[in-house]
Amino acid sequence: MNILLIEDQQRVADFIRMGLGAEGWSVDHVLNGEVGLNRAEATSYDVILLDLMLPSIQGQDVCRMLRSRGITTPILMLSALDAPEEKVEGLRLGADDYLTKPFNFDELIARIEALFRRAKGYALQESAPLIELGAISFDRGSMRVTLDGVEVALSKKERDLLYFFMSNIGRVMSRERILNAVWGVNTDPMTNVVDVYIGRLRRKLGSEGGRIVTLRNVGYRMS
Amino acid sequence: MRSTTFTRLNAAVILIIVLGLGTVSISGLYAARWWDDRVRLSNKSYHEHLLLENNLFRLFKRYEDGLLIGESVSGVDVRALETAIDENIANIRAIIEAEIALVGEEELEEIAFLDRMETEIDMVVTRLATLATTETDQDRKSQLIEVLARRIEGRLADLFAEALAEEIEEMEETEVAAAAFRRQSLMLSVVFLATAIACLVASFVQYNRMIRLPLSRLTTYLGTLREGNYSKPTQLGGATEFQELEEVMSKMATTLAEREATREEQRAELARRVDLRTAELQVMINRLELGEDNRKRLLADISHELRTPLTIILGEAEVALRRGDKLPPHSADALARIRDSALHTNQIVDDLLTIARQEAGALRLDRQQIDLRQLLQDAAEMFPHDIQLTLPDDVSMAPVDAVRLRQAILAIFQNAQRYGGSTITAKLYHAQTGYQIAVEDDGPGMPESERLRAFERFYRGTNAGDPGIDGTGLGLPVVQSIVQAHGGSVALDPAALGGLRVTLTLPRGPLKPAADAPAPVRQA
Repeated sequence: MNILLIEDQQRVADFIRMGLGAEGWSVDHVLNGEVGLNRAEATSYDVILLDLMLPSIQGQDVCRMLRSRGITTPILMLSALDAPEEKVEGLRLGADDYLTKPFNFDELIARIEALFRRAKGYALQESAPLIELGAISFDRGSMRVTLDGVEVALSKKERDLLYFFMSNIGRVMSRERILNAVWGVNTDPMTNVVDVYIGRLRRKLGSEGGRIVTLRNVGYRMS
Repeated sequence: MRSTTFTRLNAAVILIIVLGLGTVSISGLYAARWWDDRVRLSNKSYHEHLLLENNLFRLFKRYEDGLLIGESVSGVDVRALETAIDENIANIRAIIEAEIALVGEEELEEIAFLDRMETEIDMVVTRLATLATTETDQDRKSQLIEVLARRIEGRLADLFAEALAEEIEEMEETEVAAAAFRRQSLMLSVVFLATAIACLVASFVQYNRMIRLPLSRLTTYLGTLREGNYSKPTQLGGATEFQELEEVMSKMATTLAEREATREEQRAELARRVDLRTAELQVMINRLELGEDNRKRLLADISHELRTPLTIILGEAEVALRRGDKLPPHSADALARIRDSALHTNQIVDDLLTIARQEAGALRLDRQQIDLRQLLQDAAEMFPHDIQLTLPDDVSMAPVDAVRLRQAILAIFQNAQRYGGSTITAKLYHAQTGYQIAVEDDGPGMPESERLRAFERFYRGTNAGDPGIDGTGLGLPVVQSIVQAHGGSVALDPAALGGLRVTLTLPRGPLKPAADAPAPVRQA
């Protein structure tokens, strides 16, 4: 994947580049909007990461101009501004997604992937009616979970959590990412709720519970 | 002239006229009686004279007849006639005396006249008597009688005629005098009346000039004064009192005008000062507004400035941790702690921004109609600890920002778990003004002194323990900010269970969100 990063703060760009690079993606970094526009016109990218607070041209204008020049690459806006209007405005101008700083890196990766997949028109794994992993069977239609054919009683949140894991099999997910996806919340002190629920889920899955692996300091992974 | 003088003058004139007319009437009455008496006396005198004359002639005739016949004349009838004659004379005398009493000394000559007549009559009567008694012959007697007769018819008759004429003349004189007197009285009366009318007219004119016109002018003048027109001079005219009044009024007008001028000056001065003060206030307001704008910009700047380094810290730590298998465990732990601290710091920044925005009236809420029961249920489910929920059966819709309100409720749950006991209850009530959410725990609770300070930023109670990575000291302030931004309030009380009771009150209806309020709500 080729990513264009338009970000004026060098230090912010550094870790983004490093992190995305670790995923095997190539990142082009430019420091302002004008250069970014030229680069986007010249080269084809899979995703554009656009910081809103830029010198000279504002991020929103860059977005608008990218679109007006016929560039259809998905744009993910990054901003320290967390007001909902900014978000709505950004999306209205043609961006595809919006992420507030500071963000969870997993989240960034997940969203870039989602944008990429959407652009490429890949059928999402989520569209499959039945997801199976080992003895676990998740029926999306009836929302029933069975373990070796025996139904497991799960609360709604437990079910959402399991679904999230089964949609991201093999991927490492941080607690923040899980919290955001399942609970829709990003508050720091709440992340231990993830631990508690994962504990419950593991118990209910019995032998299959071991599939959910804890990665110290990083997060969880279902394999 | 003073009006009192004028009045007195009028009164005097009236008095004089009344007295005059009175005098004229009364004197007329008295005069009339006098004239009457006069005429009456004259009449009586005339009548008495006629009687006397008649008696005398009868006496003479008697004697004559007696003499001619040759009888002796004596007897009662003669004597009666003589007595009658004496009576007549006495009466006449009395009348004349009465006349003298009435008229005065002018009648004295009448007494003298009467005396003469009396003398004459006496003489005649004596001669007649003597003649009747003397012994003489008839012829001599008839000659003597003849002489007497001539005497009687001559002198006595003249006397009588004179007397009578005198009386008639007197009566006529009296008539004339009376008539003259009446005419005089009439004229006097007319004069008095004319004077009275003239005086009345004059008095009326004077009254008009002296009192009525000045009064109406005074009224007009007072009218102009009332309108605030102090400069017009006035001529009242009229009585002296009005002159005095005029002086007083013009002085008053001058004083009023001066006072008005002073007041105008003071008013102008006051207006100047007010304008000055208003201008100063406007400058202050502008500065405050500018300060407010600066503050808001500062908030935005801070948010940006702080978030960028936090992003870097967090980003670097996370990226490094993703290669956790290549890291020595100590480094991985360290990086994890760095990451957690960065998240914690970010939480504090978010909380501070929330509070600061709400104080500036700039906290934007994404309000939707939400069933609060659902909201509480979500929060309770989300929370790892057990929450005993008590929800009403009725639908509990309210225009709230679900994310923010849930954040507030979770913060309260967090506090209850951290500082309270193991049993946490949450109840939703329908209240008169809106809804109430009450969260209670069975822990040690919070003493009143702490409850008063609980909403201070970074204030942590006595049972807070280490201010470590867990609490920020901003939990309750953030809750208050969020709830107040919704137009509600938070209250802390002792719980029935023994711990702390936190009550959120939220308004029910479609309210103007507090974020739109122009004036910021300042917190203690």
